Amino acid sequence: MAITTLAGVAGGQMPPDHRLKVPSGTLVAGRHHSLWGQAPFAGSYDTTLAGVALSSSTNPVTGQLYRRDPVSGNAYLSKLYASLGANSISGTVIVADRLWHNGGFTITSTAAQTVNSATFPARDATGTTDGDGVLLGLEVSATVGAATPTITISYTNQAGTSGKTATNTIAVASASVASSFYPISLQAGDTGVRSVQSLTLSASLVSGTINLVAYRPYAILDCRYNGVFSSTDALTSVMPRVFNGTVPFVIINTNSNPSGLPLQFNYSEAQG
Amino acid sequence: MAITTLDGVVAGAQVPRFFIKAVPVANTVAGRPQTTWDRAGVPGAGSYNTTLAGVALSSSSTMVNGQIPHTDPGSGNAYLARFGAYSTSTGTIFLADRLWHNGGFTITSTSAQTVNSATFPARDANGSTNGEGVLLGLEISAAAGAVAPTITVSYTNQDGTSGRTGTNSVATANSPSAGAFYPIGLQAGDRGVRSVQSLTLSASWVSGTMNLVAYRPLAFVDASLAGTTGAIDPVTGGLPRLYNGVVPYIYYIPTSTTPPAIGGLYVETQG
Repeated sequence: MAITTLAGVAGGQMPPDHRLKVPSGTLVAGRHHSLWGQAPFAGSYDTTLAGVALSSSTNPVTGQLYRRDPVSGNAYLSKLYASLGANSISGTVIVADRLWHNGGFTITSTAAQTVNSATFPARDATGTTDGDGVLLGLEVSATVGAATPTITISYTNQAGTSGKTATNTIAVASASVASSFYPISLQAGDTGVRSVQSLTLSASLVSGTINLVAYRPYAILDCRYNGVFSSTDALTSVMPRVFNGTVPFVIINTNSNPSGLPLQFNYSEAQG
Repeated sequence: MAITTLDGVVAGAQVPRFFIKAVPVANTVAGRPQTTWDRAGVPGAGSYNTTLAGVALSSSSTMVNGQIPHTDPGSGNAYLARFGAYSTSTGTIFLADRLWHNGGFTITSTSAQTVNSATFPARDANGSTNGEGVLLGLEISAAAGAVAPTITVSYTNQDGTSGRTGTNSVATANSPSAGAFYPIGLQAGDRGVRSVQSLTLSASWVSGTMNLVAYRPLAFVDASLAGTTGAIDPVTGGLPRLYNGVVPYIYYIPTSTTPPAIGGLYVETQG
């Protein structure tokens, strides 16, 4: 079964989940920030290099936008509201499925740190473990030191080819605060990541904690009016499929340096 | 078959494709277009052809390095359903189909350099090779010298009339960095380009590398506030047709010298 009509969207509407996040640190303009570790309902991080596959099928993962798998049929994003607080702040909200994350890196090491990731869940672009559309990001979970290393990841691509390498798309800023999120590029020709083999820092990050995240964005929303909700729906977002076990979380990119803002999200799915 | 209803849009929804491209190698120039083709990110960097005749680009058999992923529909048509993009500084962000590119120019020459382009793919505005809506641009892929030549291109228009000429519609500047993109104007009355015969620089560009590109813009959105997303959807975007083999990529027009990262989401519907 699948939803193939707007009437099907209306008929399969699920209750919305409303979330409030109040980041504890100052968010930096022009940088991506993950709200995973931000209170309330802060998510936790794994502390092993191999990391852990994430799934909401049995129980929601603390930190995610709440959802549950359909009893039958498929799930789709049907509505997303977001507001970036009451101050002079505008930006972009990205909703992504968080497939896997890890921890346990030696923050001062410049050697290749072996990851050999746990198998990602079958939630790539086509609902398999191949990795098409699955991306990597480095998330800071405790403020790091005054250094700006290049992050190099060795990974296996969506076709199963190992030995692929890529670096951070956006330069690491000195003393990046917790929640800073640095997307990792793909090697030319790749469309996603199946697994991670290692991470290398070009210089010590001195202190703090970093985590790798495998994620797949499936919705994007503009928030340009201070404190006012923006929204997208099943039609305007073009029915992104939400596979069973999806762990939705939010990444934002803003144009100012807010602190302590109440960020609000309202997320709902249609199922059928 | 074609999609003619909103239910058809819903039924044919395809996987959203996220993209994010690294900042350019140097500051941008306000009002001068900038390509992301050569930049690292998601998708990874694209490469250039090194022959004057160039190469037609198609994703039908194998995707082209640097393109946003696309798979031709098993049957029916493909349409752009959603395009949302943000920039870390203000400007306008374009999505275009990259039909052809070349290389191999002698950047110090002021003679007409013969191109005689390979046949463009059948992806003009009507899905043919006539060239309706197909435009030309010059991309700098390695920084050029401290000169600002006029670029003149001799081409054949959408009706098959040869001997047409166009020049750069945005003035060149001294020492453009990699990623600088200069759209080429059309001769009065023309609506597109079927093929390219030659390129002439009015002065030596001293050093660097330049490439001609044939492209067809599909959509554009505003980044009127840094960090915010401009977006179109199946209704506001008008469902532009994506012909089989489309090679979607991003270029933008910045409003300042602040080099931006560009990100966003691309979604098709097929049926």
